[in-house]
Amino acid sequence: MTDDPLTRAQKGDHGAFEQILLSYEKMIYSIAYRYMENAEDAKDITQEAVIKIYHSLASCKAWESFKAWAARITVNTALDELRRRKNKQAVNLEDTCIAAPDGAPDEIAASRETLRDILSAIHKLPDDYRTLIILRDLQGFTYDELSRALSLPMGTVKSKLSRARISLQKILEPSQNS
Amino acid sequence: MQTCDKAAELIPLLIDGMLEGDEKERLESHLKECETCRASYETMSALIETLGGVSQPEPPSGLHELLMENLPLRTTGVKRTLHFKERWRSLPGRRYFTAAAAGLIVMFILLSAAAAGLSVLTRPEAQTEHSGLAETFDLVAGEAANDESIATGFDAGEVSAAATGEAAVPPGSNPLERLAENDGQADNSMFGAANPSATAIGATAIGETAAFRYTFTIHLTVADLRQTISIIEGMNGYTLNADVFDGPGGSAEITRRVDLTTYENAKAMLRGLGKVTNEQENAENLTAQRQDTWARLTAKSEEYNRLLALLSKSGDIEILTKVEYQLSGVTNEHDNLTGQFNALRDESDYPYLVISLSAGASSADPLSKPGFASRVSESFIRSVNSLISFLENALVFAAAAFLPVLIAAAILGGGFLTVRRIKKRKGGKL
Repeated sequence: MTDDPLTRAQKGDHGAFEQILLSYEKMIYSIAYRYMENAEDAKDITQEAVIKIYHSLASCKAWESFKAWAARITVNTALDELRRRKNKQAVNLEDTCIAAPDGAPDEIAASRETLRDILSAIHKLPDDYRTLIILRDLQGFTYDELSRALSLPMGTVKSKLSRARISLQKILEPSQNS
Repeated sequence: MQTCDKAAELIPLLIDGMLEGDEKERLESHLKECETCRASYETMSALIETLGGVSQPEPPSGLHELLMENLPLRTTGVKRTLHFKERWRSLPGRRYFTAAAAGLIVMFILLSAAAAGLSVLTRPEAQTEHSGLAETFDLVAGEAANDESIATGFDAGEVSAAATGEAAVPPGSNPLERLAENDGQADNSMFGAANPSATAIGATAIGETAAFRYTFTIHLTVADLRQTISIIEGMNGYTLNADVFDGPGGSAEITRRVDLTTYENAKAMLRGLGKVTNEQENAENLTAQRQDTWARLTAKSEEYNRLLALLSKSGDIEILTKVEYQLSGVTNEHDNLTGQFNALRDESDYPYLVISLSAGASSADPLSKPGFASRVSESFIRSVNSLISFLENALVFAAAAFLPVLIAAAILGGGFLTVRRIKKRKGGKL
């Protein structure tokens, strides 16, 4: 029986780790980007997170939980960095994070504006709410993956995620009304 | 019936398809009835849909290569054999280590240069020059004192008393006792104490240890005469004489002197240079000769001091001239005795090595090879001697290098910590 990439990497197979990295480096960068909101910082966080993952590879119990485990390391690395900088509000939303929707140019502009408002509102959320929104709504994590990544019971994930979304909705309400 | 607060909490879960059974039915029923909650549901659906439509940021080109390049090739808890290059690359502080190693090498070179300079200063010739200078200084100082005393004059009766001073000292008796006797005599006859510097020399030069002139003669048959000579020339000590006869069946006669402390090492090394055809060691006892010379030197110093004391007390120009004449003679004798004493000291401190070399079948020749046991024992002795020599040098070096290394380590460590702190302040990026 062939070992999964995690087991092989844990045995010292450098190629297996590279294979894992190819599968998940985009996710790691994407999560880092959602927190840092600029490419340069996201790249640095990605590097730091990947090195942490590599060093603590032995502590990952199963290949099935690798995604959640790696996400948690990335989230913690980004949050640590933001806490260190104490400028969590510094947001730069001008890069590729906002998709260009189809439609007329004025609609596209309006849509971009809405996305910018939403992403800006996410950064106003508390850390735990922001993490839930980023992982679930922007990264598409399942509830089970959220539970593993955040080490929270499923019920807690459901209730906290609901509250996070309601909080986001409330932050956005004034701008939506206007 | 469901409250709006409860419904608000469940709406996101309904949108995600996470509600089932009764709970789902109750919420759907509530949404049909409650317009506010229905509006809230639609807003939340739109928000979640919008969030889901946000595209993923594209990683910068070359990210994968960058990650792989900066990856430390080491994992915690994973057993893996790494190549040296990988291990080196995985060291987090390898740049600092390189800098520290470079610093240590530079320091080692500087210390070696300093040690080489020191060894030049402390070689036998230099020591001889140094002691010669010290003695010259003593004599010059004595002469200066003499010049001063001439002006003050002396007493004629005391001159004869001073002249009998040397005769009262029996030759060959214990020099220390003689020193004591002379001291007593000098005090009784008001001639002052003995030369303090001479007394100090007596305490160490006469000493309690015996003195020997060692001569080690060895006859060696060697395969390569020139190479052997160059090895001998590279040994500790210096060559007194070297006669080399080249050509087939060539030979050489080398006389060297080595420091007594390296004498045994030198003998062992010589034995390892070829086939030993003959060797002998002669130890001539110089103890009595040295003690006698020293005793006479001490007595002469006493006499010199007494004459100086007389000069300082006499005002008669005739007596002064006589004493000065005697002083001149005593100075010359003192000088000669000093030379003799130093030569004897040199003889015992620097043994002779008389090395006769013959080109021919050496230990390399299987027929003339010494037995296995003797070769093993010679090798062992050589190794032990080399080890002792190495340890001595290492100890000296460690003592000399300790403080600079400590300072360098403190500087490098401080630098390393500072850099790390700066990096941390800048955000702890790798």
